[in-house]
Amino acid sequence: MPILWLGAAPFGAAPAQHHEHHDHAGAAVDLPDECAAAAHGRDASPNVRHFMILAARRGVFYDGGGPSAVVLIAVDETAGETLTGAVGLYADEAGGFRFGAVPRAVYDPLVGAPEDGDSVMLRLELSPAQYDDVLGVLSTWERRAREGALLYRGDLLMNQILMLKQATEAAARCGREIDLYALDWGIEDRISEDNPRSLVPFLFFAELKARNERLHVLDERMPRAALSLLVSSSGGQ
Amino acid sequence: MKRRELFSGFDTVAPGACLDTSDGNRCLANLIPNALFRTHENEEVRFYDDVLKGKTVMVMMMYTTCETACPAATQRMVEIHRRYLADRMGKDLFLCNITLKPHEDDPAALAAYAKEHGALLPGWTFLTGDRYDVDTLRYTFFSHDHIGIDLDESAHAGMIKIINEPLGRWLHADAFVSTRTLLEHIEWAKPLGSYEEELQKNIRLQQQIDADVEKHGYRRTV
Repeated sequence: MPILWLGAAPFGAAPAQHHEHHDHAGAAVDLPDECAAAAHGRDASPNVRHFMILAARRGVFYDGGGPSAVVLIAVDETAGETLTGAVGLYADEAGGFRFGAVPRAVYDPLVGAPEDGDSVMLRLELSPAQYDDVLGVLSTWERRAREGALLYRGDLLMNQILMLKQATEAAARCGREIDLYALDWGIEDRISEDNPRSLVPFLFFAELKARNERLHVLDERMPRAALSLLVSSSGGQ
Repeated sequence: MKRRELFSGFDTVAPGACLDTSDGNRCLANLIPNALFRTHENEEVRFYDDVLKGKTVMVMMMYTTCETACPAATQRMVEIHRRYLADRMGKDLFLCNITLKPHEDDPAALAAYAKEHGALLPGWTFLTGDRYDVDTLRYTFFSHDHIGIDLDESAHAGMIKIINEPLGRWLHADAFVSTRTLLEHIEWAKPLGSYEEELQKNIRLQQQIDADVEKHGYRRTV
């Protein structure tokens, strides 16, 4: 049975930016005042859990980089529905770089692959407000990619880096717990300063993983349905 | 478990890089969105079709609550408009200010700003629109290719993009350079004259340079 509020948001359309916070299992996040004040109500089911997965690989592309994506998952085990989507940078079948909505066939293996030195994956549980903020960012970037209105013309990596920065900042805006890294190309930003641009997404996620290891949702805390989707898609790992 | 996708649009468009410069204005049309904006006179306009097409336009960005660069740049352009460009403005040359804060600056706010700064002048339009389109134009015209600086909206006030749409030519200028330099940048957006006209221009320039060297010992004319 579909979840009403999920179905109410057209795919690819920008959702409302703020929603009333609902605590639910594993997502007891205290919202800062500005988030609570800006929130408005919606029919969010307390059974729905929201996740953001930051996943990246390196050493895949000729420039040493690899695919990277922000994946959103909303799971309602009671209703038996999962809503997933991802925006990021990847290589298409012809080997060309693509930026925008990532096909399921690309992001499923990315988030389901076992971590090693060349892959990183951070799973964060979000409040509905955090989820909606991140979805707003991803929807805008998905639209830009679809309409050919990317902010950096002819440089997909710059768009990807900006998207990652905005998505993670959106997640942290209404959730104090996430320890962000300032990806701003300032003199303190050693990731951007000391590395080729192609490695920035991977290193940025690796840094966030190190800073937020305690928030990483382990397999046993993921809803079984979502976990099985992710694991089965990566060849049963 | 039923699974649905958040994003259905996999057919992403290749980035709008324009590598073939043989057809200038087609190249521009590919790069510049034809988004819907609203003028300070509360009229709807399409940015490419109504603001740029067939014209030479100086595009700048500002916002009405800005206290430093924006009013200074506006004052500068008022002076340039009145003293040097009055005969061209609204005929073959136009000035377009786009707000950096469309959520704050409605047409009435822009009209009030223009009036306050004496900018209700021929050929000068202030625009507000959707944040999405404003950001697209801001990055298209004024990006520094720097993640941090580009996120700072105020960093784009005072910069000018001079666009000659029929020629597909666009140049960068700054409102705070010397008057002569700014006027020269505006001049560069014009199409080249005939061989004879360009030759005469170069002869006059060389004479100025020679006079500079004679008088000051070095070249002062740009």
